Amino acid sequence: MKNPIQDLKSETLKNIKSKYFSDNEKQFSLKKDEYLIRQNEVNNRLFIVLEGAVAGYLLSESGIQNEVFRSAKDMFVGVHSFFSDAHLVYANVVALEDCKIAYIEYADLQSVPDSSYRNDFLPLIVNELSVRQRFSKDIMIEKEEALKKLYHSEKLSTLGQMAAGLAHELNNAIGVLNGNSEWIAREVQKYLKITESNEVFIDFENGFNGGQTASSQSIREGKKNIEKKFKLSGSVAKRFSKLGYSDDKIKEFSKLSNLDEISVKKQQVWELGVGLHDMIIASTHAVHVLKSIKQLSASDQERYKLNINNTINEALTLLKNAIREVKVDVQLGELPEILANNGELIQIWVNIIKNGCESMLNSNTENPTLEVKTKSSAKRITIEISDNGPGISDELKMKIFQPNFTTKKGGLSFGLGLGLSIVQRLIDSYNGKIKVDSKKGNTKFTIQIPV
Amino acid sequence: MDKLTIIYVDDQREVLSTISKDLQVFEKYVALEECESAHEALALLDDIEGEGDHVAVIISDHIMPGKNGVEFLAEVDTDVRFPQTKKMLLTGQATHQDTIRAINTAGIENYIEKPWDAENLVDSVKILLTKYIFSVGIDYQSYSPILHQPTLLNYLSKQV
Repeated sequence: MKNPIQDLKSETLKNIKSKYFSDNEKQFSLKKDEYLIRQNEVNNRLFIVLEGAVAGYLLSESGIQNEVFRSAKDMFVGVHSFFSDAHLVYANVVALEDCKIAYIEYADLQSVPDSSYRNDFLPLIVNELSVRQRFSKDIMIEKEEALKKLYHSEKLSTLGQMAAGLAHELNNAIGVLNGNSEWIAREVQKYLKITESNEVFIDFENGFNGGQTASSQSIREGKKNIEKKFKLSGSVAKRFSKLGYSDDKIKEFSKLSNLDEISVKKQQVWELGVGLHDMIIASTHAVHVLKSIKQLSASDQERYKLNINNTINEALTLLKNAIREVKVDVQLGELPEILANNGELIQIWVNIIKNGCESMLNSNTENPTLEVKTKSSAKRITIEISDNGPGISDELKMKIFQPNFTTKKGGLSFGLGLGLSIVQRLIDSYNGKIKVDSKKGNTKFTIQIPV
Repeated sequence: MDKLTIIYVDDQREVLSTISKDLQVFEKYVALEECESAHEALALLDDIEGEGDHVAVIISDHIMPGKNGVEFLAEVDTDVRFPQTKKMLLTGQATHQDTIRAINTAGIENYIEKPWDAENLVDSVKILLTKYIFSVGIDYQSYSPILHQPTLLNYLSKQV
């Protein structure tokens, strides 16, 4: 809290001081932390602070001292008790620093004519009231803002805790799925090797190692070709097309009489492999996403050696769904390791990338494209994240790094949309720099972090 | 026997192959076609129509690169070549607004949320297939193993 300033006209003040507060007998010094007057005692003096500053505190029911006013140089203390009937002090007044104080006694007022009251004391009282009112208004606003901030951070930390809890719960479930699919795959492999021909085993292995690599369209085209070339039925041709068999191999099979049955069996074994392959890919992906969520919500801010490129990849994994409709072009250069916190860096990239993608998608940008580039020089690492969205107007450019600034109408999206103010704060903590260049069709965030 | 096709569209290959497995019961009776995008599906629709075959059911994901599921189904809905084609949305990510649009503009008959239950998916497809067969007036008898029996009975009782 800043000290308030006396805004009585300097002439009025000077007049009051010389007229009533110039008696050397009625001046004293007050050491820092000493009490001037105490709550509920009787006070018959009106004080003026000649040097230093004092503050008034009210003891709340819960035993906390709340500052209710502050008087600095040339301001008055004891106004209420001095002029009121009961002369009771309502607040404890304590010196904030070493002070020099002057005062008058209530009895001194007896000799003061009415006109002096009107000309000298009335403005003094009114002024003192208004200064105090302003002070309490400032305190109120400050508290309101502190509360808002607290509420905001509380909300975020609750989300973080929720995310961590969710991640933990899912982790166990997915861990079981992940472990068992790998185990089943190995067992099936062993079993097929012993019981089936080498050819069946190879069908399984192809499916398991590669998954389904052909696109639905190329399978359809392959099926048509096989149908024509070998005069096979549509369903058999489709199976061979899916299995990716060479013409020679199909030729060999096409001589067999029970082709339908054989192709079904082959496809089944191959699909068993593909299915297991997909399960392992899917559970690995899930594990990865969960790991990223946990890191995001982790409260540890410890920094260790890491490669920024990895954090960018993790951010992209985390955003996989949000950026599905966007073409992502990633060019990661070779970077030296730096001391950093994984979660913090991921948070930076997630925020910037997510904002870019949302602006492109919300404005129906054609061929939405996101570019992420990293490179390094001897002194610093540079990360560039750009999109071809509608751009940020100059007016908004000034504001985007301010806390609580948003162009989004919806609420907080799952624990991630923490805003660019956090990005700015995090980058500051790495002694880094962030700037934005934007025009229609190209918005680029450039982040530099010293090595 | 008229040739019927069921098309499913999803940009994730693993999802397509899972749906294929779930819908295996239909394989003997109808053609099953996988597509990785709305674009590919639209081209396939042209082909099938060109051959004079039926597109009975379309199952589509919503969030996909390029045209999204609701846009795609809405396009099919207004296409005079496919007035009876039954449409289903299979998605985990449609918003409330998307869903409203899907019903109002894309004429979807069924909505299944991901992750889906195979049995539920098969049942829903059976219902749509039965509806299709009766709305175009194809002879249902050769398809009866893959039709939804209560829906079938309902249609038959109306005919009597």
